[in-house]
Amino acid sequence: MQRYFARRILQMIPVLVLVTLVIFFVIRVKGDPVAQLAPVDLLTPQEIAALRHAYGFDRPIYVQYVDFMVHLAQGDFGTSFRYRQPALPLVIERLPKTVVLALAAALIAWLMALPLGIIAAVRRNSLVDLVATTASVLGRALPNFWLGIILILLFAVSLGWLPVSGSDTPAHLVLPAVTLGVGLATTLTRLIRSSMLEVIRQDYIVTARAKGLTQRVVMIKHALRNGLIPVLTVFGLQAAWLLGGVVIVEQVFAWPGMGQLMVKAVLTRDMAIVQAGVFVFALIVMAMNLSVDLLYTFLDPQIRFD
Amino acid sequence: MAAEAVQPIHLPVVPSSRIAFLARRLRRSPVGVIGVVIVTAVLLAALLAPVIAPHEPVRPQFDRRLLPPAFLPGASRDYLLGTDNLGRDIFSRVLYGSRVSVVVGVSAVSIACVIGVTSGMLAGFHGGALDVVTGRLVDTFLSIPFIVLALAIVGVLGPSLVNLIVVLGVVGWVSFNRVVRGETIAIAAREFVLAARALGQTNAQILRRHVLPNVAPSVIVLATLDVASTIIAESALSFLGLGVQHPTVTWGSMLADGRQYVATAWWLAVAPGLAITVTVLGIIFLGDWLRDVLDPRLR
Repeated sequence: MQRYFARRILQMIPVLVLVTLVIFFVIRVKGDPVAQLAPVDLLTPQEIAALRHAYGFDRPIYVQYVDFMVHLAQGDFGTSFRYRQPALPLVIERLPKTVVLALAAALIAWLMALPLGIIAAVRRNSLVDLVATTASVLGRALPNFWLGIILILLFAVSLGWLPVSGSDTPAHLVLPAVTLGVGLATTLTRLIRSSMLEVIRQDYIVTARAKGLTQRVVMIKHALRNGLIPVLTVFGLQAAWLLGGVVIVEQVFAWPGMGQLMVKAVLTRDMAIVQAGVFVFALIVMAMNLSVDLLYTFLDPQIRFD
Repeated sequence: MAAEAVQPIHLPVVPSSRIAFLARRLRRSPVGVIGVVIVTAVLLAALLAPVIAPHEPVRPQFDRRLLPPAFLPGASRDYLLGTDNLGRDIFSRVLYGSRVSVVVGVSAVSIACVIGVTSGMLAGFHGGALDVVTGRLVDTFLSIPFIVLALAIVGVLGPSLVNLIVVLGVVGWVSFNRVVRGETIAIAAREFVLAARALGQTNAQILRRHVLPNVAPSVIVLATLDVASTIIAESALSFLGLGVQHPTVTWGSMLADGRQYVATAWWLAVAPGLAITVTVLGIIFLGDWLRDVLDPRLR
């Protein structure tokens, strides 16, 4: 198993290098990167040339990339011109807020989806099943930024139970986490339901029932454990989707995380922060995918990975 | 013509008249009917917005600010869904907003589809280094959240209709590549491909005549569902201020305005959000129905 994970981590290296290439070229897609860093239309050609030289943009592209990588290896993404500070620490500073929001959303999603998905599968065509299937169709169509606004309207404006935006108290976490969690829960419910339906038909479930085990034990100890494996695969793939959602929902609720910082940076063309942000987001997604792989081995001892 | 001797093998989907076949199947599926009705309505709204819209969608009318929808007390009957913070008719703006969603959704998915299908067929058919390289590229695109990457590129290129289409198209090719690559590998191993090769057909001919028609059903389904997620992505970027810019009306930017007035005038945010949700729901219904009809194996 250690060998498998060693190989998985080795496989991540080319992807990581490609991510750095994407980040490197993103600020160059329009040609001159100086235009991203300074208001070029206000400068004289001499000033622009001087800037280009100062940033090293007049050197061959591969030299620039090697230089970029050398700095990146030291955690140096350049300086944010808006905050006049190194970009990476600014992004890292916001990381905890984003992680808290994403974890809370994932927790809410699982807490909703597990019982709903299992009951929908066990009592097929019941009322719970109908609710679960309808909700999962609706959930695919509801944009999270709109759901967020509707929740604000209901629970903050009309009922006054929860704050509209910000992040000062735990109560501030509820609405953004629910907004993200509901979207994720609808996908998860659908997956858990269909996966459980598949598993319930298997012979070993019939055997377990024949042994006289209670429905509860059969479902939780036998069916769920195997039913969760395909669900987990898709959940790993949803990591990127979840973080994309975080970026938008942070904006709706003025939640001061990485996403909000990045959107502001994009709007003000603070490219050092944009580059550092994309890099950190990619790292989180890769780490989440790796942890999902790790979880497999706990769920299914048959998976050995060698 | 000798090359005509080997007919491409189609799925059993294609009788003499495809339209008649689809229409027959549609009559048996209420979900499909709802999908077709919604999608047709949205297309008509986009096409005929200047004809249907009761008011001009962009010019401010400050004496008519924040009027509630017509069914509420204190409303004017002229403004079905009320007016926004600048006194513009929300119903007319929702109609006009459909244009950006339709154009961006369809164009971006077309770009993604061409890149993804071509690269997927080539990678699946030839394998080897090409497959490894595209595989790693796909992993890379999957590692960066879609909206984050789109955000960064739009930020550099500057927000405009064309840039939005290009970015969403270029970022969205991955799902097409994965599906088409997998199916191509399976198809390339079938006897009729071997037969075509024995008859001396070139790789390009085999891909065009035998592989492409067989991956088409999955691609059509995927493309339909992808239009739905692209419309959501476009709205999200507009909501963040990085979509098509003023004075063009977009559902996302209407929602961003609505967010500001959520405490005082809820209808500003409800109408465009409902428009997005219903549109996306219609496309999903259509896509799910197409999947049942075209490729039952995918269910």
